[in-house]
Amino acid sequence: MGRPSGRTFYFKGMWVTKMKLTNGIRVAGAAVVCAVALSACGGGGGVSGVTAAQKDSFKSAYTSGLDGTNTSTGLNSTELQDLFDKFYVDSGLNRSDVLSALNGEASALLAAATSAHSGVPKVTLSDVAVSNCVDAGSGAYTCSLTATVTNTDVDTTVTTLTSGLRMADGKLRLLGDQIATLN
Amino acid sequence: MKSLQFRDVALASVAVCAIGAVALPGSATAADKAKSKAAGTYVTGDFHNHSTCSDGSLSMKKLIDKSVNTWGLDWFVQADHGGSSARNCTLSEDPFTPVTPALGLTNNSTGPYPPATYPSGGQPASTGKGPNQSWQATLTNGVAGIKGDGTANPKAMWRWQEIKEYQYAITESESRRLSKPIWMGVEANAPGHEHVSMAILDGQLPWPATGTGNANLLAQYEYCFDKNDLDTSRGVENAWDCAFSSSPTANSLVDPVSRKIAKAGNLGGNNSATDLDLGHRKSLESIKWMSQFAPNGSYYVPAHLERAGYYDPAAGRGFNIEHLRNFNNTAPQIAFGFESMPGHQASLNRGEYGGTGFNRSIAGGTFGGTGYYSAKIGGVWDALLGEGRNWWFFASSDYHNRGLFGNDQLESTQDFQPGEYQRTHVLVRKGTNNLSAQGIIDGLRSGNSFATSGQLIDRLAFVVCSLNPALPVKTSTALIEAAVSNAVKNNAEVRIDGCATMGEKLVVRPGANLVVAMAMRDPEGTNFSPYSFANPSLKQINVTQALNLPVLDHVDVIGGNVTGLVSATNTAAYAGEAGKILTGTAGDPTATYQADAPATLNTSARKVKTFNTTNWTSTTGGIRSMSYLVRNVSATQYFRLRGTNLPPSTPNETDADGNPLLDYLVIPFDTSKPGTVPCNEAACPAHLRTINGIKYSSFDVSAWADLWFYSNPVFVQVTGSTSVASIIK
Repeated sequence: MGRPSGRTFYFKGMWVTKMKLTNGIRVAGAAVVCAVALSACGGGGGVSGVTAAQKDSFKSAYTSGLDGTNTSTGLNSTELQDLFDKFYVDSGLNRSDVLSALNGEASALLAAATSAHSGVPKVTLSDVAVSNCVDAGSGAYTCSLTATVTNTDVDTTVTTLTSGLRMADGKLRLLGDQIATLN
Repeated sequence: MKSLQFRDVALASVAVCAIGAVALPGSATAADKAKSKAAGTYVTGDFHNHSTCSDGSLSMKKLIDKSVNTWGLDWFVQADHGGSSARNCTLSEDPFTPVTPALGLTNNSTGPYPPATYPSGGQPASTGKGPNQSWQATLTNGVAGIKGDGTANPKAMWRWQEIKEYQYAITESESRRLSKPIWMGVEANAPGHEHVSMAILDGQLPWPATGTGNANLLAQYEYCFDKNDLDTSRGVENAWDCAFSSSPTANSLVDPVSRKIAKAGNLGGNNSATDLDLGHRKSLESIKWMSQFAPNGSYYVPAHLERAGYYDPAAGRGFNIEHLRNFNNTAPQIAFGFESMPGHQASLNRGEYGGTGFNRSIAGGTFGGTGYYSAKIGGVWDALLGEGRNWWFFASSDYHNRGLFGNDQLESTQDFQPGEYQRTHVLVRKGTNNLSAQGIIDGLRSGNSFATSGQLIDRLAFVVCSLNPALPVKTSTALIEAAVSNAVKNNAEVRIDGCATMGEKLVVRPGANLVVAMAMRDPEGTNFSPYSFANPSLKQINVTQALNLPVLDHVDVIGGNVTGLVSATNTAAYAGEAGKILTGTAGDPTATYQADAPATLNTSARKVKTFNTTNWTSTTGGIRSMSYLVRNVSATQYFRLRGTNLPPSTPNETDADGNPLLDYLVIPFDTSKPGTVPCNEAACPAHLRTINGIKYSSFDVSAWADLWFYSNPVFVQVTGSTSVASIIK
């Protein structure tokens, strides 16, 4: 199959067209939206295009990035913001939305007295696993991310994080769940 | 315990918090508020109830014992009416220890009472015995021991003396014996109005405090400000002077003899034909007095405030919204809410609202056992929350007696005992300390509380959180739902930065995405209802559910906008009547009512979400957890919860939107008329209204059938929009 025209990438065995989203509108038409479903993935890890070093680099960067989300510097950091792939879509939010929110939170922290802005829940990552990497063509790969997320406050609540990942330009970045539906 | 800080008393107009348009250099860190909160737990209590020292039917000791032992409350405030009484409530009944509860014990009507099965000897609490004996007959020095004015025979003792010299000692000793915080309050007769549940803790030393305390300040308050305290003796040797430094207003009104706000022929300082506003001004002065002398240990909570109807200055009764605003403006750290879920829930006229006894009650009566001011979405409560006020919802038993039944029986045609049916659940921060009375008052003041009937739920965690943009949305929502579930398992609260709970505010940027999350426990096992037959209200819709095994049907999230404090000079927006009866008797289907004044409305308030078995998560132990996203917020707003065991469109109980209907639809106050909900199980008790051989759900059965909970709100302040000035946290 040749590569379709337009803004597409290969994810979990199919070509995915990047969606132009507007609030409240479910994506329609011929565009294909790929949910994060491991069943479509071909085979386990060990794809040579994604190295252990790249996986470790992502784990480190994302862990560090999340650790800084209670500071304006951390929220604004290019390292954190660069972890969101240009094709990122998650529950209706795209990369632009995420960066806008990160920068907005940073500005709010800077502009208000510390006690006047509530900030966001901060978490730490552990048990970070990058797996099921698949050749997406044109030098890109898609993978699955799972991790344990723990709140860093008094509650220490724990939950599981899952997301798609895409490796391009030698770097793994977040793809989100690729669901364009606004909840 | 550091007291909460509140806004300065002001009649402020909208306060807008603006942000700078240019990012500032440097870095800033979000406040680590979660770690600064001491660990807390939700505890249950009651602060409005009666002994024989006013018009109750129990001694102090037995009332306390029923409340904290039989019904398991964690804290208790004994609060008789202000004024005076002839009976000595410090004498205990015999038998004091309750007999094994069982249906079918003889009562006053079926005799003998006390029943023959009671132990013999002692002084049973029948007329003239036990705590029904008079002070005059039982004090060592008889009438000479009763102070102050009064010439009746037997002479009544003024409440100030009862509190100061007799009742307080009972609460302190029982508190220590039972290892629970128990202290004295008063159901004050508020000049110009009706009743207010109030207390002044200062001086009192309930468990876990040690030493010998006193309720002198409370006693002085009662002398100075209760409209039914007509004593002019100044507390005799106490020589009280009700003038106080922070109130030139009151001092100019103080009578030279009694040294309280009083006038000849109007010793209570109530409204009068010549001074229609004197009573309300005296009530405001009483709040200022508490603010000066006991700012942290006091509260002032209007009780069953819809019962007496709209404000009638000539008669000195009722509460309109402007009075609540005035109370809150005067001292928001003291006047911070109302008992809009009243006691008397087993009464034929539920809550004692409406009917011939209170024929002006707001909107005719109660709605699912709750007053109109709170039951109506977009009504008075939402109007106050729409200003960003710290104005909280509470419930109380207002226990007096069980009507046709004795205090040790389980049926009731009048009241439920404290903790038996209604509970106020409040978060108390203990940290490394034990539960304390001051901690409880701080909790009531904080708004981190919820009220329930019939043990519909017994735990609740409710938060609004900002989404962390760096996390997938589902991860954020899963994290917060897990947090509320864990909080409910631990009977605690969520302590996560970037989240706010009841009584708090979340400060967010415009465009932020939020998650509203809650979990509650629908307890497994039976509640305290003595009836196990099928709920007659639910039988109408073919749902079989035992009255003592209620099931939470759904939870509504109610939201409204906050547009800022209304100035008292803007009369049209500040003052007005709601639920005002125009013709007929309150509760009568033919009665007519005036349209609610704009000042009593928050038209932005609406039901924003409903959760039920289709969209909540059930986990073991009866825990229900649920959440939803609020996208791209732009305006300051609040969220609050209500829940019930009755589905929408339950005939005569709920409308299609799930709103509670007027309780008189189930059972008219005219006893010659049938009800609308038959009780046709074999076990339906004999005391229900019976017309032509058909029993109808009424009295305690109709109360056990119709259960609700109400949470207090979480505020969301959007930077650049209205500031929620009343809430610091």
